[in-house]
Amino acid sequence: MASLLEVRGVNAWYGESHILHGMEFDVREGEVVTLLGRNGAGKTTTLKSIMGMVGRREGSISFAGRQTIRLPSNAIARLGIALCPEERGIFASLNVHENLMLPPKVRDGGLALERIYELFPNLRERLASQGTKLSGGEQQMLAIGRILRTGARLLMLDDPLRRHRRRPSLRDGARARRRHDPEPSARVPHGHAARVPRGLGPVGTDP
Amino acid sequence: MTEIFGVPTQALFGQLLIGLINGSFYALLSLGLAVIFGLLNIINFTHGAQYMMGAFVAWFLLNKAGMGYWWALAVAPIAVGAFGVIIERTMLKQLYKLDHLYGLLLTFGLALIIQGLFRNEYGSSGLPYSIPSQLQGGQNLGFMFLPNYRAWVIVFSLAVCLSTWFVIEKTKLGSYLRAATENPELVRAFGINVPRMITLTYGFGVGLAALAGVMAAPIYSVNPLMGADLIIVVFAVVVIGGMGSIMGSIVTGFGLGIIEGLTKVFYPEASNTVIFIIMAIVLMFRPAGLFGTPR
Repeated sequence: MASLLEVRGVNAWYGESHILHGMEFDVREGEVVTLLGRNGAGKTTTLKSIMGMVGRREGSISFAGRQTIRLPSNAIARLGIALCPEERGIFASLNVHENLMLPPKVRDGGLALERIYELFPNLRERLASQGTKLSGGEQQMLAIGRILRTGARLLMLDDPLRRHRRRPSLRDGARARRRHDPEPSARVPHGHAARVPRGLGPVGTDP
Repeated sequence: MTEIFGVPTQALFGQLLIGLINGSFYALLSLGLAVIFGLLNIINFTHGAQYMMGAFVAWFLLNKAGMGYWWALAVAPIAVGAFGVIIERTMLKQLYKLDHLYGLLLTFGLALIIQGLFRNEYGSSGLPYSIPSQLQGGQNLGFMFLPNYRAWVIVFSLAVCLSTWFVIEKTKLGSYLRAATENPELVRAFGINVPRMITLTYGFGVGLAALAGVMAAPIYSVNPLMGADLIIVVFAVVVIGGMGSIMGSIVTGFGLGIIEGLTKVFYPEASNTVIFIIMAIVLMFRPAGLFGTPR
């Protein structure tokens, strides 16, 4: 099967510092790929490079057959890639509902709001609360929920279980998502091996 | 003659009205500054000059194209807003990664250039602009005489301010704006064209200044320095309200206009300084402004 995402010889810089040196991997449709590495290895930078959020990047990143290396991040998102950032990126000046509805739909086939509330019932009860008044775990649910809505074909979760290894609700959510998802998308969750919950499905790193 | 606190009611309400009129302009201008500062992080010192340009566009339209006040109300904000868009695309855009100070210097320099050019052409004595025929005359309210045009200015600017507040705080478009104020990179990575939004926001803020300029034309004379005089007070209003706060700029704009008006009645000597005294006190106790949140 052809790869949905092909990363070839990617170099990325933050200002003067050269972070990624020839990164290469593939993600196929329906596949879960996990990036592993110690702190500072460049996992977050890899995701940000795919998203077009680093200052300078070179090499080749093609998504669904389209070269994205020269596109701005808003155009990349429109192709169907969504990022759940490490720091969650919940907006304090938006309430929960506004946070959830913020990312525009980029394709059909995203989860309906009802389904997101089924996965994360806490969100439904707090729709009018300020986004950052939620607990850390609830903010993580919100950060994941809002990109499930968009219909993106590739979800990139940056260390989604950080600090919440013992929160069953989130893991259940991730599992439920797999079981019910009619049209599974590829995901690139990233984090240390210990942080990837069992039962999330096929997990692998690319050679 | 009736009196309140030893002051004739005629004088009291008269000054209150002038206060409300000034407050309308403070509110419209500080609102534009707040919107621009929120998203662009630039303190737009060109705001006064853009307000003046709005009044001049109204004057041009009337005298060169025969288009009256109502046309000016629609055309001037668009024309001056488009001028703002060009400034943002060609100049301000280069400064976003730098300190606030550079944006302030650039916009201040632009204001001096624009005001200089207009003064060269039109001198510093004002050009007359008459009140539109539909709004001439006034109402006798019993306790005071209310000119129709002034009532219109207060009502219309209040409506514009509250609509702007509504759009920013209560609509989908506004949620993009608020989110982009906090974290533009992430909003962009969700597929929203943030640079275009920034350009249009600057154009909108500038358009508000021009709209205020058109409304001011029949009240104050149209002159190249009308913005320079006003903008200093407006910056004090913005500091008191809290930089970047939408409702803060509206409430403090009208509030300080009224306070200034009342000061003229009760202690006229302080009427030119009262806003700056309030600013000093607010800065001592709430450095982020009455409605601002420290960042």
